[in-house]
Amino acid sequence: MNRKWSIIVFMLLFIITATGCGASNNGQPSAEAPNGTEAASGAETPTSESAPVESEQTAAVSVEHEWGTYQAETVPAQIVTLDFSFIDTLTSLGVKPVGNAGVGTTKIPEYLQDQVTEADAADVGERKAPNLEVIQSLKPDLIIASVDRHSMIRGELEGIATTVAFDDVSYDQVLDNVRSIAKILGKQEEAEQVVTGLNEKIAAVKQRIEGAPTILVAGLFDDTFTVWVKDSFVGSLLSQVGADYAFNGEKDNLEGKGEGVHMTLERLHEINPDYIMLYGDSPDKLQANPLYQDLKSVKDGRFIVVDRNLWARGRGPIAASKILDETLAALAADSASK
Amino acid sequence: MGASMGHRRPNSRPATLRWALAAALLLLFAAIVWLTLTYRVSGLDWRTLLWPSGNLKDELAAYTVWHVRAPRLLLAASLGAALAVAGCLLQAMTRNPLSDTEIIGLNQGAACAAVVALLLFGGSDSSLVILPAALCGAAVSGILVYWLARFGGSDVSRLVLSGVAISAFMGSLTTGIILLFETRLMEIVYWMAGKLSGANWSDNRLIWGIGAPVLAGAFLLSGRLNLLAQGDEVAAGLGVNVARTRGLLGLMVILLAGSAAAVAGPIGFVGLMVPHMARRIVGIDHRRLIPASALLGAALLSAADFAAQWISYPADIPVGIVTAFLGVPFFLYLLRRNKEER
Repeated sequence: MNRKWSIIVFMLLFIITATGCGASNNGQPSAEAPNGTEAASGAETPTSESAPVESEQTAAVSVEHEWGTYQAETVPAQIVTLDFSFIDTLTSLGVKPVGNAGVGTTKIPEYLQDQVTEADAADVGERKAPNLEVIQSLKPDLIIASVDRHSMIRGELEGIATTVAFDDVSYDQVLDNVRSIAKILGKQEEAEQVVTGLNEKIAAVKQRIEGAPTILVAGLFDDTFTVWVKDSFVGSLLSQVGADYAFNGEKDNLEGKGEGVHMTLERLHEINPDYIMLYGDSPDKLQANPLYQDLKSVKDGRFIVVDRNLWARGRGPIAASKILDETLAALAADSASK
Repeated sequence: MGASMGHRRPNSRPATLRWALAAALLLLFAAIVWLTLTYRVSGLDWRTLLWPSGNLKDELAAYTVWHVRAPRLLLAASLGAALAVAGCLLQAMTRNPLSDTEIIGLNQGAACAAVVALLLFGGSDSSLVILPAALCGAAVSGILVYWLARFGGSDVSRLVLSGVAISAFMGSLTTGIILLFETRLMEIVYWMAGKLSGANWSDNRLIWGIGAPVLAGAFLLSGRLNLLAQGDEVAAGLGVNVARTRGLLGLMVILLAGSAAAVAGPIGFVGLMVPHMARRIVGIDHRRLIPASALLGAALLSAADFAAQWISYPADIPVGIVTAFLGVPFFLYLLRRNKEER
């Protein structure tokens, strides 16, 4: 009897820890909030001392972000970005960060490497676990963090410098981020240029696409397709150009948020969208497969191979712009071949 | 722990019950086969399946059944059998009920080689790179484990220990490489969980070409396995060349596990738990244990793969995750049972 109970208790504990892991993402920020605000108020003492100046509305800036409200009257010069979408945003505004966190050996996303080099932006380590000492040694006056990835080290970051956090899942959020970050940097004009540029491109692609065709972005790797969900960055961007993104999926709140779902060709054939944008392995090996040949997109020549670095990992206004360029080029080639 | 296997009563169940269980298992397997082949294939009936007309829709349905579902099912069954027998041989060879291709480092070796090969030669067709690399990786780490164990002496527990060491080393190497080149290698994580999606007839041919002779060989060796289970001295006294038999068994395990990892990635737990399940049904005689393990393994992995395909439709879960979910509770149950027997 006793043993039976101990097993039941063990099972329950296991379940609790397992579900706790899933929920910790939501629980963490609130649990750390008191700690975080303490550290923040410690770091921002000069700001609060000069609060009267702010109320006189000289040049005070106030920007809402995921971890609170950013207030300052000087423009930060030394900025550390902790995710690709933020270095992208800064670059689009013509500002180079002093430090940036990368992924593995990719310190700066490939598509940005002609504009920012590692000489400009020092490597502060993995974006999942940035090196706090290196960040501190750069003496930043602003850290831009990702609300999910860095909630665990929120207190530490705020202890080093004023930290703002943004979410970067959808295209709309990215546009909001451009405006917010521009406001902090006093670059509103540049931000408007970026946004107008993007809107123009979206209009251009929209013109090329008739009706509301269904579309999917997928990566092919060893017989399995990674299909991006509608709420991902590419998914929401393609919805903007008037396409009907064909796979809703379930947005799981894991690392990187609701990215892709693994599927076989059989399932892809069941969804059968008008357009498929593919990266990864070459589709040549599928040529002999009747299911592939029967795909609507293959029959209509709308099965388009795209660049993996950009489509799978690109986030931010520059990435959006380049993705739209590629979409346009692919559609132009498509209509030319007809 | 190793001795506990020998202490069990050789025939734990009466013969009629055993046959009933075997028949029930076969029926279950047949049901899984039928379900896997036909579940949610649009526009399918008997006629289109056997005599497809020229109609495109019929052709697609027939193709789905014969070239998508059937090879995947057969691969699941063959791999299940191969892995279960590999686990059976390993457990007999090391006289350790916890031995498994995962624990002995073969799977990690395959994964590590696949990751390195993808990094070096990754191009337009990843499957072409992964398959030979995983086969070589499993072989290399198998030979390494065997050599390390011999280097240390003839004690069988050294084989498991050196396996664990190699497994840990290869595992951390793999994780390290993936973290460093995450942008290029993220997709391999899916393969590393063990997957059967995209199985085709050539994968099957590879598995049968390697697996069938090895399975037959395992069955032929089952008499010697029974003797080996009594301990090295007893076996040697009864005329078994212990070192050579063990070498042969090691080679067979490497072939089975290596070819399995090559086509489907490292699938864990089948090799660990199926021999234990089979032992409870047919007893410890390897002449019965090996065929029973093969059948059970085939049924289990095909059932797990069916679940993997449909649990979160349309997404495909790696089958290795499903087997792990089945494996952990069984493992806990097993531990508890051992404790009661003592």
